[in-house]
Amino acid sequence: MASEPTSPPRGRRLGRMLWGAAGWMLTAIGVVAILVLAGDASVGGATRTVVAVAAVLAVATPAAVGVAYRLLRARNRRIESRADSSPLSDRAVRAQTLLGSAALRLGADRAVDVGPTVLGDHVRISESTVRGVAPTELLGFLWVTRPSQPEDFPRSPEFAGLPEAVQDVIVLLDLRREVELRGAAAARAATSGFYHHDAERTAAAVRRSGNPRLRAEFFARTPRTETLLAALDDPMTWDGALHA
Amino acid sequence: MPDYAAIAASLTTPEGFLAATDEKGVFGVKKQAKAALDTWNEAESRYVGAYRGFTAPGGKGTGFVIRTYWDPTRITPDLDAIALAAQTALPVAMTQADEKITWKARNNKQASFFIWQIGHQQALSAWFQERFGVSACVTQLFDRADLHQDVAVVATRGGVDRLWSFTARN
Repeated sequence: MASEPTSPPRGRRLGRMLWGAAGWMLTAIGVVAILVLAGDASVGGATRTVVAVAAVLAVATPAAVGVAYRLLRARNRRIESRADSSPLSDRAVRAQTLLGSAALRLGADRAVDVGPTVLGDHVRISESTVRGVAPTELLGFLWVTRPSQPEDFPRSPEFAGLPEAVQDVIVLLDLRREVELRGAAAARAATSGFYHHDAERTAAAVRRSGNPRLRAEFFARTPRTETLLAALDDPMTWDGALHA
Repeated sequence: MPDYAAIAASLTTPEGFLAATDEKGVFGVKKQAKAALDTWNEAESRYVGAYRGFTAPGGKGTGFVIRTYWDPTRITPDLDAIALAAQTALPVAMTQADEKITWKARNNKQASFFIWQIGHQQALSAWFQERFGVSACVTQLFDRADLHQDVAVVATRGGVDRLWSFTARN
């Protein structure tokens, strides 16, 4: 009962300790080098220049990476939010992810505030993030990240830019949550809410799903919450959309 | 999973409250247990349910803990999704504002039992209700146990939840 629920596995802890030790050693070497240079007049100008350049790089690189990440991310967002544009290139997406994790690793946080942004990018649902998720993991990814999307996600350009099949999955997952939170009748009659989609949009997604029991229950005059939840939890509901 | 029904059945005497709390040795706890029984009996609605704490960004010192609680007979929230949303989507300003409200509204005569009093109209609780169907408030993290306690005792009166959380023994 008293175990730490969040402690990482031992291998990773060891790795982190080694990284920390290496960082301390590099710092110590740098300090010694500067002390020796300051005290000893016989050291040549070239060596001095190398140490000075290394010091400036060590200070400026994290901030530069952080700023580069911010700029590239802003550019990618701008392209993605234009309704008529073609999807982002794989290269742009990869570069953004790489710069993001580099910024985190280098501790760019001290200069540019990137931590929450990088984390937020990992859980964003959009065409470019969904593209990299394996089909077997897509359902779990969408389920876990959906509550972290902004309030107006169903009406956002990110949602509109998703492939139709993925949109259907999200609409059905939202229906699943709405039914559990409010009950079947209230969910079908609702006109607003965090998980609410247009009635026609939801009906279309239900019609396209491969589960006749879901269709029957959803369009019944008085849908029952338990039966509707059971139908939504049936793998048959998701097969059609996920393997399209 | 703790046996919530058995815990609810044991809360009929001050001794029942004393047996459950994590803070038996605290000064004045017996008097508090009597008052806690009154709070429990006078509530308009009450349940023994699930509790879970989540860390959230935006705090200083030990940081913030988001105390979520819910009735497991009505809802089965996805804890991974809550942890993710608390880290990425929850507005930091809302977290900080709620910590102030919750600290001001606390019942400091009931430090061992129903110390937290959460209004149903509190914005952060509504935020979690809408997305996950759980109620919530934010406080400073006082103890590691705040994160992994697993039982919530909730007594509601006048639109305010009185929350007491502890770790089940089984």
